[in-house]
Amino acid sequence: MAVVEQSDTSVPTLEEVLRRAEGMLPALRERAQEAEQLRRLPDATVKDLFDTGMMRILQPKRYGGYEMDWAAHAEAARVIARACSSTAWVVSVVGAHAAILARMSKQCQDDVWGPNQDQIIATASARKEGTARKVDGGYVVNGTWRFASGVDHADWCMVPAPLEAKERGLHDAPGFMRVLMPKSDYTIEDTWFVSGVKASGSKDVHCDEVFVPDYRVMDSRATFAPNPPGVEVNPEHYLYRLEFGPYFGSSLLGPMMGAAEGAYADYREITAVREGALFGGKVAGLAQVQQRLSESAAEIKAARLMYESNNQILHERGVAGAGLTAEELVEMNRDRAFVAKLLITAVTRLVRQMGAMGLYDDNPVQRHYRDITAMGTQIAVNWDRNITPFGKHELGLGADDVGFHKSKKTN
Amino acid sequence: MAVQEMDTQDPFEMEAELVARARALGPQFRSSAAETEANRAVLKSNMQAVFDNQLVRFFQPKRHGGFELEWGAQFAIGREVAKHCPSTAWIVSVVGAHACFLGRMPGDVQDEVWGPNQDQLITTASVNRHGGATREKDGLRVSGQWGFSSGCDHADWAMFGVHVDGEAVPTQIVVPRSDWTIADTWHVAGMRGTGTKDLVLEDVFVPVHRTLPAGEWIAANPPGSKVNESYIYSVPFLPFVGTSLLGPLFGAAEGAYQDYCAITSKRTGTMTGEAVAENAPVQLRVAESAAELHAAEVIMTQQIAYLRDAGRNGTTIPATKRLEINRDRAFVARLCVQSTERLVGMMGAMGIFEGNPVQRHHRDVMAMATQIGVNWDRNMLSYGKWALGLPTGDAQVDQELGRAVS
Repeated sequence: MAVVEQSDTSVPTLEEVLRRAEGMLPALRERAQEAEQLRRLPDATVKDLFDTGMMRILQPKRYGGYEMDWAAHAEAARVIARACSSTAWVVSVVGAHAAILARMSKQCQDDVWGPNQDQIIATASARKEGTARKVDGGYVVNGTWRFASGVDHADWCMVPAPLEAKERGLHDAPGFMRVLMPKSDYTIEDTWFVSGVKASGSKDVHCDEVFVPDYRVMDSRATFAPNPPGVEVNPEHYLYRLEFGPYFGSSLLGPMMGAAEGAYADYREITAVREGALFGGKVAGLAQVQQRLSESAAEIKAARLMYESNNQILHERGVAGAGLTAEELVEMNRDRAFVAKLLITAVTRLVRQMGAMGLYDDNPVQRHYRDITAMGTQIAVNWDRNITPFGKHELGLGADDVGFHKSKKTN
Repeated sequence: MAVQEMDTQDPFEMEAELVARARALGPQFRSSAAETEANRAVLKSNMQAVFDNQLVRFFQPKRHGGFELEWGAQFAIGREVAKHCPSTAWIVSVVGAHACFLGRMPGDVQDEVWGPNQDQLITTASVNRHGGATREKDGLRVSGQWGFSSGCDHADWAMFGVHVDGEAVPTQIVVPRSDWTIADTWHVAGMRGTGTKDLVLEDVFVPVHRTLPAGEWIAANPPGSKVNESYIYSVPFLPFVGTSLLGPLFGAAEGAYQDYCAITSKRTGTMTGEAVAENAPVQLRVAESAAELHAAEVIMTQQIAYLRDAGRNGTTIPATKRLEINRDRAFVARLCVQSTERLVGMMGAMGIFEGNPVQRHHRDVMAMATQIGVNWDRNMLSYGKWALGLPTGDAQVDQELGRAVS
């Protein structure tokens, strides 16, 4: 595909970003099976992502990025996921790591984007084991971390490392340090043998007595909290200034939304002309097929409206310079899990109506189904975890810890 | 109590004012909800409050003291009332919206209805049980029985759809209270307070100015659009009419949810004495129902905005969009039903007691969801057929899409 000219000042419009995303779809469809077999993105796809600026959507302008609003990021991923969820995952979830880096110190940003502004920045946010031990001038890092999506194409990776081995929690839990390392500091362990989003290449990274200087090791919580260190050089955009958790946790929705839309479109196209394998006859003529299609269409639309509303809230609160209240956060977490549930239900219903066709690897509906199910396992859209705090809150009990707030509704 | 006058002319401010009045009447509707059920019709005192607060003037023509508000006003007002009493909400939203049914009829019959008294509830009896009409010089001669006349106990006028001997297309007629009798057939499981009884006509002469072929009435620019200005009197009517039912339905589900939370946050188990709200399954159900209601709300908000814009701009609503609108209405109804069922099923034996408002809301939601406009199979099948490239079975839609049944 044609290379799009880039310069520090050429920030495309949202429409242009989506047009470029659309332009990639035929190639992504073509490469989808190869990508699954590679269990990482094909090099040609990574080149396309750089050429179209897809990895720059949340990159700061001072490093050649677009500094676009939240919806641009989500929408680009939604469009791409209609053809390939794994690529969308890299654009959305991995692409959001640019904003995390933008929230870190200038020196960290110079290290990464100084030599090359086309970057896939990996994070391995689940710790198998490992620590950061303080030494003179820095830390010695040891351990293994999981889920480093896109790591095969990354020059840099971040991991959360506690000072003490006994610490437990998410990447931004108290006591965790965020460690930024060049690829010479770690090895990739290929553990990504999975049933869905195979091409995200979310492998393990391993460090063995690696020295990391002080400036690339920081309090993990501070990078997600309001006014992080990076605000000194990137003061403009809300994504670099406000509490980041609500945004980062929403980065799953674009890929899931697009995967469901892709599954629906492919199902419809196939089923409109399909004849029953055993008995012949037009499958589309069956009332249950018609009804299932409508039900899934209605669910996908409901999810789309809620997804758009989520994007809008995140953007509006960002522009207003205000974080979300505890009440809004529990509601947002609830709705994200609900959107995921609607989409998974919608796609599952379709693939189950495809007969044995639904099993074949070259059936894109089957791939979308595996992908959306796999994405649905992510903690940010986990049903029980995200739905129960809202119920507690609504019934006058304190919700669990949400972001940096505690919520307590008085009835 | 005197009629409250409006101190604004902005349609959205007027809508907000009517919603605020409905909210203020909430406690009255709520405390009389059980009595309304037992009465199997809205109470006279509540009907008076509805008139005094001008709650059924939203679609009444301006030339007859009405407001001609934007499409969706009936949803907002009905939703608010339904949190407290879904039956009263049905009268306000569904029956109240009949003002624009009449507003599409010839101007003379509108003058007859609203001339003597601008506080009118116009009932309809849309389902023919038996009987019909014969054409005479200057009018129709009608005998028979028609079903589903919500609010007939409070109406001075009723509209019927009648079949005339030898004519293919039915005719809409408007008949005064003195010409019909009520057959009390409304013994039902839910929405009891709507008083949706049958109406009987016996050898009644209906002069021609009170009649209109149904096709003309539903199509763009019916006779009433010559005397009334708003788009609600001139749009092709079919994609619009279904909105009115959804305010009461959604509000009832919302009311069930709010009552459930208020009750459950304080409830201790009858047998065990434990705080019910502490149970994780209870918390999970509350959140799932809340998310479903939110989904229903965003769908309806979007649909109403679409219809309103189409009406204001005179945009023709394409067949595919009409199928989508019908699909989404059925989907919203299902979300409301599921949300409410999940909650009432988690109240223990409390969930079956008549004094429990959640139980009443639940029966009401189920009853409203039986309405054809939100029927699941019917609406889902049509959309699915379209999406798969088949004729939908709706003659108008298929003609427009060029998918005639061979």
